Amino acid sequence: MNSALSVMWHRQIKEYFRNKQRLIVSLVQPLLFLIAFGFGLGNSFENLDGVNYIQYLLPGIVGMTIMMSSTMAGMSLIWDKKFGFLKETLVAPVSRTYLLFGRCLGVFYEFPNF
Amino acid sequence: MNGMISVKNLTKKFGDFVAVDNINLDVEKEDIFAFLGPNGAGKSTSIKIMTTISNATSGEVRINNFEVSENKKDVRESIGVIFQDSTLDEDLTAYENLYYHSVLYKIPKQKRKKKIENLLNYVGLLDRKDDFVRNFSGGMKRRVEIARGLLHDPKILFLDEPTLGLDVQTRNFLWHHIKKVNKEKGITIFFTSHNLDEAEKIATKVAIIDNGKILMTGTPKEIKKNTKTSSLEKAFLKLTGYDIRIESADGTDRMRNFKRVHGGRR
Repeated sequence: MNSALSVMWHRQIKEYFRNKQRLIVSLVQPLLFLIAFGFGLGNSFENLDGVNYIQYLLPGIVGMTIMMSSTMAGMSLIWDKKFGFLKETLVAPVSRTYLLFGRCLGVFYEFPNF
Repeated sequence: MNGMISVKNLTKKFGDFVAVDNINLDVEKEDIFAFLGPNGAGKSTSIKIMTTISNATSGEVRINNFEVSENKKDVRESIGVIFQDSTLDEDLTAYENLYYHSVLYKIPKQKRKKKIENLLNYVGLLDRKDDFVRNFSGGMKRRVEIARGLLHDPKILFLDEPTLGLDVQTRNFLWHHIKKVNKEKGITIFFTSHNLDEAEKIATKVAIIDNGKILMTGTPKEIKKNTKTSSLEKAFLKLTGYDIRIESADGTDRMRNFKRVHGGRR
């Protein structure tokens, strides 16, 4: 496999599982929305044009989780710029497209709950 | 054209501001080349161009006989770079930082572990290899970076102010090892520094730059002779003047402040 791709991907996942705080937030937040808004508030809505409330809510939660993880991918790039690691990858003899692609894959596969 | 670094009429402009003004440099194999100048003289800009991070406005730069704008990949394979600010990933261990580097530089899998352990041993950090970099002191981080810079056996090692903010022991250690790799492995060294005593002691060739122009090049002896001074520091002051440079805080300074406040934690 392309070395730039695998390094960025591997690193992203490794750091995700090491950062317990981020790990817990990313797992608990969608569940919290589902339970609190879904089952909690769900009883107050009876009919939403024929779909039940959970069906109505779930795509939104999925969307929010995708947005969160995309934001994290963008953030990781900025953190790397601030803390210098970006430069290390910029002087490496690898394709920059693959560096970015690897980072995205890493964030994409960070979310095992979806 | 046999030199390791050959810079011809290099110019870099930022809008109307000329950061590097038509400079010429030649660094031969196995030189220890010191690139000296006051703040804002154009040192870091030149290093950025030589290490393919930034593009020149005009001129030709050849590293290990590869043109930097055309053969970026070959240039990057021939050089090791140690930047002024740490470029280690603080959330990884020393070993992991070096391991990812070895993958990026395509070091064969079966050689990686041995090579990394050898180099960590070389900088005296083998027993700390599984510690997170964020728990390391500035000097230890710099040692890890030296090990990482040497991991892929570069032909040229670039160091941008490598001893900034380090204690005497680490500085001494660092120069000793730089001299050693220069001698034993024949690696060409190109460094910038504000510490002129150190530069005088270690460099075989020196270039003094100010306001984007090279004022003088030669061995430390030649420079002292030409300026009729007794030390490189006096020669430097004679050439560049005694005025203190005023620089506003740029993005890099703000980044350093941020790093200090947040202590490198995410």
